[in-house]
Amino acid sequence: MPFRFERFPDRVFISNEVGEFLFLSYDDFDNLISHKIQPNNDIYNNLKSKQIIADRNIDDVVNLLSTKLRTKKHFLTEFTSLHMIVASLRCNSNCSYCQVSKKDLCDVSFDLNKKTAKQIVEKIFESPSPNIKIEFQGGEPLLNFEIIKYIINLAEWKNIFKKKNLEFVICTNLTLIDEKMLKWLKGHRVYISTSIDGPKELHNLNRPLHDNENSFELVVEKINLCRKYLGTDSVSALMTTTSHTIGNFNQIVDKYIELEFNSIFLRSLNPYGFAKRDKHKLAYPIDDFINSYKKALDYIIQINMRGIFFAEGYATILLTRILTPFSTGFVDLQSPAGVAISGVIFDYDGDVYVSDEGRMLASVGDKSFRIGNVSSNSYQEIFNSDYLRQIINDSVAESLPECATCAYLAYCGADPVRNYSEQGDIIGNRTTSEICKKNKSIIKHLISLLERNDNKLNRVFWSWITRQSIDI
Amino acid sequence: MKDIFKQVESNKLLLKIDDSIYEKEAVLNASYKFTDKCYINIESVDSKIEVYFRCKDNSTNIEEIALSFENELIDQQVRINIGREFKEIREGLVKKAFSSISK
Repeated sequence: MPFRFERFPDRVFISNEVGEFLFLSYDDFDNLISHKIQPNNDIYNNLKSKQIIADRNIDDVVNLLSTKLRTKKHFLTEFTSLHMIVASLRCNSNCSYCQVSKKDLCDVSFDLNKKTAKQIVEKIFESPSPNIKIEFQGGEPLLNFEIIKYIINLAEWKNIFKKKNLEFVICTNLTLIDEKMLKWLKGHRVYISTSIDGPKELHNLNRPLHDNENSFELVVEKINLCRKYLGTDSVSALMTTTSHTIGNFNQIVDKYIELEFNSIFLRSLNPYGFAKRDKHKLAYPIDDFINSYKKALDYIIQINMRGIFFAEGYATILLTRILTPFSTGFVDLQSPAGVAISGVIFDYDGDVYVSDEGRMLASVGDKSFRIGNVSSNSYQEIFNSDYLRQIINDSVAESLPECATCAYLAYCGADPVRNYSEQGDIIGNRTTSEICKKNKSIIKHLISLLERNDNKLNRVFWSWITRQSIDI
Repeated sequence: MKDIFKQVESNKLLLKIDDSIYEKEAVLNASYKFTDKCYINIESVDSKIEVYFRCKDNSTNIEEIALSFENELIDQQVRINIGREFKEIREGLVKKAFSSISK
């Protein structure tokens, strides 16, 4: 059966189309490719059980692999489910790595108005997906809370007839949320996504407010307020790694646990907006991130081994892809890329971009990933254009140089916007791509951990995949 | 090992590849993997494919690059062979996987 491989110093990693994998010695690999594997020994049976070889009933094996492949690519059958809306580009934060080039706090011309908001909601409900998630972005979206209420009310009204699985997320620094807002949000299906970059000193270094250097204590106070009104699982947090925080992952993990979060997503810096402009101050060699990530992952695993359920988000996505046939729906790492077909963003002025990163590029003057405007283009013109089709065509990892034969393809994906931003073209060059290096290194690390076949470690990983605490 | 490459200058090297063993696609794929370290020029001369390497960085050991390239060439040719051998099964698998949604 078809398979891909990569040589390690003392063995060969083999994976098939759906990500089933195993390691072989060099001798066994030579036997495999020259059809000399002896039937009915352990290696033969292992290869057969992973559908890497088939001796008879080939049609049955093809059927099994087809079902697994269809499940892995399930996101393709749904079309766009994540709809991000920029409620305002104004912001009261002064984050060192602001990726959207936020606007002055007083300049309301960067707020989304009702007329455009209505057109956006109309477009969202034209999506064929049965699942609609509306995510409010900024700037700081709570600066335009009236438009958030307007959109939620309008979407819920429309959904009486459309009957979609509708939910809302507000991506906010939380500092402006108050009891009045929360009382209103309580009656709707709203989740909060906020940012915590670590303990007080680190968080404040990365994310000061305009008028207050100490944003940390305010955010923590507001997280507790949200949990009181919206429920304990209503708030999730993200972190962004800068040169200030890269050596401090353990402290950051400890703080997340102290704040009663049960997961963290160790996220590297995305090269957009101020993060790109001030790269010399904020960025770090990607090898430093990979090494810090591996150490932090080990630290998190040890915490779980002590009976505390706490997951790392990126590893959870990759492990789900490595160990299950299920689609994970992570738009930054899909093949074809999730650009517009899984997630899309509507800017405050009604412009539509293929992804949040596409809109981040536009904020510094490059509108390469603008696919239309809600007031002047139809749904078909925006989502069925030759231009969008070309971007998606160029982001099928199975046909990209190097990716096509990569042994980790089944777990990975393409990011045309990142390639464009980092390397100047949407196909990109894998040999110099930092994102490729990061993904490959982390996938290889996870596979080497799985290869240990350590029962306790495997139970930790499965607890992350199933999102529930398991007795270790 | 047979002398498979020839030093042209301190940071330049010429590798002659027998095209009865390796396909052009394998040579291109293997070359691609070294484009981060070298400028590479490929030419066809008689029954040989000639690959010129010029290091981008003078501190790179060009001999090591050439030796790694030889091994990469084998892997790339094996990948092509596997791809060709299982092409029909792979295409049938993908076709079957999406048969319910294809028109």
